[in-house]
Amino acid sequence: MIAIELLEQLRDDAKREVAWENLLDKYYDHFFRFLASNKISVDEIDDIIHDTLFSVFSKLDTLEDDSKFESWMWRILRNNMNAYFNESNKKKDIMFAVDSKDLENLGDEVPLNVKFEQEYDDESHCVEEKLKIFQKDAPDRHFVITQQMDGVSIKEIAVMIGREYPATKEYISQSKKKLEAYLKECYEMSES
Amino acid sequence: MSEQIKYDDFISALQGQKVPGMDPKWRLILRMARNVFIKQKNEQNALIQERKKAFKIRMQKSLEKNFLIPKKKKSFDYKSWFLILIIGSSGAFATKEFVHFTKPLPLELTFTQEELEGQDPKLFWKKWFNNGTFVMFGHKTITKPVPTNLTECKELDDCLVILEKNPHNPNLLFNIGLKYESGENKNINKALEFYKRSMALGNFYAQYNYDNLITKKTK
Repeated sequence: MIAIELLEQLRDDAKREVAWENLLDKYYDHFFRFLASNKISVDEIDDIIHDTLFSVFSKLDTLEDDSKFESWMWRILRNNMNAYFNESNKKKDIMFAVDSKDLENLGDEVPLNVKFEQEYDDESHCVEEKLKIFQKDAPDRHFVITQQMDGVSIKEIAVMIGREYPATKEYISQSKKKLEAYLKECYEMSES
Repeated sequence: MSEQIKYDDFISALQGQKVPGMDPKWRLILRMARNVFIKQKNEQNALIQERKKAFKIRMQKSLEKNFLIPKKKKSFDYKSWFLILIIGSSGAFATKEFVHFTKPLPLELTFTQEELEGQDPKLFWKKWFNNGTFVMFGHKTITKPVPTNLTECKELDDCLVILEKNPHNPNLLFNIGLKYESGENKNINKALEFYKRSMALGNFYAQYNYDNLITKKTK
């Protein structure tokens, strides 16, 4: 079901009962992954998604452009997430929680080689361990790469993270470089 | 190889596609990475599905209060009736309350044609033969019940007097059984005997009371 059909259902009182379930089925997984990639605990994730869906219902009349329903919903989610960070005084160390202007000014912070002086049994073990560290260190970048792997387009990712298309493309490119740096050790391991 | 192409190759390899001309060692590493990514995703999926069920219930309650029309409870749907039936029958089974009739029956009987024929063999000939000649479809008038003109009896002695002239009246037998079952002339064995006789003539009230008495006797 596409977003515009969902929107029509939400506006129809008779179909609202079905609409919210469809909404949940379509977006809960994405919302959950996105919030998890911002290092938010599972209980707090549910609170944020709850507030977001509640706002979608209560503020549906304020939506001006129907074609931007999806991006509007993601914006509500990000706003709720930022509100959560502000209220809980948690450090905004995640890229998605950084203001747009700050993101544009970020330099290339990709490490050239990420080594932890750890010994691995083989390449497979190395890759598994490195990806665990990567997910822990940069869950936001892990998120965008996973999305790309699943075939989500850059445009759709831009809607999720609330950036312009070129900024998103650059961000994904940097994420790939960062992942590559993590895997470099495993690559060198297979060379020797 | 430009960085963009390398980037595309990187993603394609992670997506499990064949990338011609790619460094085989990188291809191997990225295949391994893909497997780990899938494993991590599956682990997260399991967590999501688990959380989603509970979240759905929470969200439903929250939205019903404000935006949704609450679902009406059907008070007398089939489930309720079924439940009432189960509770009622289990209650009856638990208490083992047998059906017991306590009111006397009217002695003026009305019979169906078959019953009349069964009780009085003469009626069979009356219906199918007219002065010794066979009647193909039988006389219709016979279906009317024959009045017995019996007066009701209040005391046991009166009933027994009527019984001498009408020994095959099942209602009268039942009423006598009823009088033996309780009251001044209480005699359970006699009551059982009369109920049994009434039963034999097709009185189902007598059958229920007979069963009831037998059950009480065996307890």
